[in-house]
Amino acid sequence: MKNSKKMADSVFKIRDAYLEKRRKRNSVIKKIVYIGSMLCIFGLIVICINYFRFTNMKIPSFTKNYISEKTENSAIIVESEKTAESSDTNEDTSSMNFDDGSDLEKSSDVKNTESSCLSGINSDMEIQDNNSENNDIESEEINSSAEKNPTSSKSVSSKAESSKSVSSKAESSKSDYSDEESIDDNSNSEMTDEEALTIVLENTDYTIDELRGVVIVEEAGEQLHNVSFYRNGTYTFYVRDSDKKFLTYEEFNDMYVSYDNSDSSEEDKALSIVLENTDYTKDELVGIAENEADGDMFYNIAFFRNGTYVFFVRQKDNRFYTYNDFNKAYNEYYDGYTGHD
Amino acid sequence: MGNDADRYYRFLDGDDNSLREIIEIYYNGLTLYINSIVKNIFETEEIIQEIFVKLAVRKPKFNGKCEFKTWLYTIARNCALNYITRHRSKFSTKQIDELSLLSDTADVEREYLLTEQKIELHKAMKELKPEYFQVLYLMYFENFDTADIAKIMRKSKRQVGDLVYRAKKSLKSKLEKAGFKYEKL
Repeated sequence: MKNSKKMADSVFKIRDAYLEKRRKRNSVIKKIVYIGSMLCIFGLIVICINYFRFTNMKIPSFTKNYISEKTENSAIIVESEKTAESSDTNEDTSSMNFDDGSDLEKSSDVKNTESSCLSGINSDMEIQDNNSENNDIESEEINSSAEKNPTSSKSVSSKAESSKSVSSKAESSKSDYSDEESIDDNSNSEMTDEEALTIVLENTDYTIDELRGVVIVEEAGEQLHNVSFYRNGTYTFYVRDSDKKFLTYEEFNDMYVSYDNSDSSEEDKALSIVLENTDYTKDELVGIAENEADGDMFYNIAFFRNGTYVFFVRQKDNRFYTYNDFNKAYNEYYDGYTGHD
Repeated sequence: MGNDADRYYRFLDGDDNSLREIIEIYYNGLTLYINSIVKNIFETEEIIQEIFVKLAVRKPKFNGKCEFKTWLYTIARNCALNYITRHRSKFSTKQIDELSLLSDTADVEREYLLTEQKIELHKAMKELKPEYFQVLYLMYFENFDTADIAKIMRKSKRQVGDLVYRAKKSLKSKLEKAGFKYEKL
């Protein structure tokens, strides 16, 4: 049994030990809080740096993706060359062309993606390679693909409808391009994508990183062989392959439309007559231009505006008709035709 | 009693010797009182140490509404009851331990209960119920009045009065059986 002095000593001893323990615990807690706060601050700084890095970064590098895809393309070409060399019989060659055709079908299914466009390029390059190998097989392949894609010529005729139709034409041309282009590739001197990119960079104030997106070979008949770049989701610049001429979107579009309508001089003539006789502009006269033949007398070019046919031009004498005049002349031609049976 | 409160205030101001003096003054009295509750001298010692460590570390404020001794004994009683609650299983075997601790307890008693009369009286009180012992101890050995005992034991004055009456009656019968004359009380 302790006496009072021993009890007092033990009490103060316990108290000192307790205070020392509490002091150590408080210092440990302070250290933990300090380290934790420093880590939080560091984490916030890292997050902020990453955030500003991503927001300030203008556009992801075009060249890196492009170069990597190019290396893949070259690898495919080398592989196809090897297989072509190893094949001894024509059957092997035809089967390889069949594979290319399936690739083209796949590429036509997938639109508006970089992968599809690049796969289109892959297939094009492979086709070019095969063309150099065997022209006979290539011509057969072209015929078969032309049968498969009859819509390509239609899409050219409907090009003048609107700017959307132009862009859809451009997209469809990615897939429809296929075999017709392979003929041009043989005849024309090939302009590489790097050359086209260099021309675009020379003629614009864009950097290489800003010209983001894929490089698409866009076919427009025999005259144009363009390399297009798109920026911010719209096609912006083109380079004509024949003379390496730089074209803006508007220049390309005008040239495309004029080229598209070059064969139909009659339609141009009719359009000019309509423009002379009305106060409409060329852009307002949107829609199709159709030959409306009716008997020997009338061979008219009709324009519609706001969904109704408005103006007609008689081909025989290039006479301009409004809708009412046309109806009147039509009825007179049919000797008192009143419109009632 | 006023001096004890001053000692405690000095301790609160940082004078550790004041607490030493308080421990020396109240150690034996608290030992006997706590022992009447827990019936084990070692546990009593442990409880008393816990009481003074609480005073030394937490430094609870003494507001002066009652006497310092009353306040201290109230703390002691609460600590003892908490101790019993925490070590409830230990107190089931209390009877066995009591026999082995008689000698130590007797030493403390001899030290604190100076007179032979008080010693004999204390021995007789041990045979009483714990509540009777506590109320008689506080009243006649520690000289608390009824109000202070009521505060310490958390009872009303009337309850304390009744308790004292029944404790005296029980003690009287026990002393008579042992050959004492109750008039000497």
